[in-house]
Amino acid sequence: MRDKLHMESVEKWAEFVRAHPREEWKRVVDVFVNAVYEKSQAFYARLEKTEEGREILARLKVERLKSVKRG
Amino acid sequence: MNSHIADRRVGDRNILDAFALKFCAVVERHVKYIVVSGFVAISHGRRRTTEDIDMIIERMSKPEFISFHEDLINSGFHCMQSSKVGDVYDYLEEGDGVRYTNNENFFPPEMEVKFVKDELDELQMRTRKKLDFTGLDIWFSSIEFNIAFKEELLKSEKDMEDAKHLRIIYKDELDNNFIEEIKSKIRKLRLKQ
Repeated sequence: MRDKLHMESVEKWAEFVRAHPREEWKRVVDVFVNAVYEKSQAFYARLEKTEEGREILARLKVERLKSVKRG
Repeated sequence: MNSHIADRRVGDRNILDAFALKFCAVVERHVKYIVVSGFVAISHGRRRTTEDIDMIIERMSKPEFISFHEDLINSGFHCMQSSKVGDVYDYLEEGDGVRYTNNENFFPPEMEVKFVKDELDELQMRTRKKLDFTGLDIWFSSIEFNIAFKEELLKSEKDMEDAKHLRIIYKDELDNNFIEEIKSKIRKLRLKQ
């Protein structure tokens, strides 16, 4: 269970988003989202370069498909 | 930055927004849809990300689905479960979600697509909205629906934080009676044993 401080930070950020123009909060969100994807894409690209890495990627795909929610 | 990563951004959109907009533009040509759950919160400024965006579409006949699926493939999307459109349609008919990525290696982000399955989904579809706050030309299920699902059904910490975030953003506009009505339907239709 995450602590109370974490929920407080979620609330504080939501208040900031509500009170400021989109371009202000969007800049922060975009940097965060792009950084996460760029890091993971770079990691996957490194894995693709080796036989072992490609096997890991194939297993990852199977695991991700297992997580598809049913119904 | 690797060029294939940079290419996935469109204009000033982040990677997730660009993916969602491109996918929804194809869907819009074929069928009524809604985007639900995590991406709704993220597009309202929630500072988190997700590997998959959840979409519900109206039921389609097999020929209609084949045309839709082919449009997705021709637009650069790839289905993770199968390259055979008949199999993909069968998954949907059986109540499974099917996932599409915008790269042949099946790296995220992914769009998880499901058919409408009950009166709750039908009501979500009828009350869908474009939400100015997001700046995105996408049909979303209403904020009330998203809050109700997160608080009554999903209930993980991430979901409760998403609901709190949305409650703050829309604190003067929420229809709390509607949220309670949806929660009651969730208990009846999704939580019954």
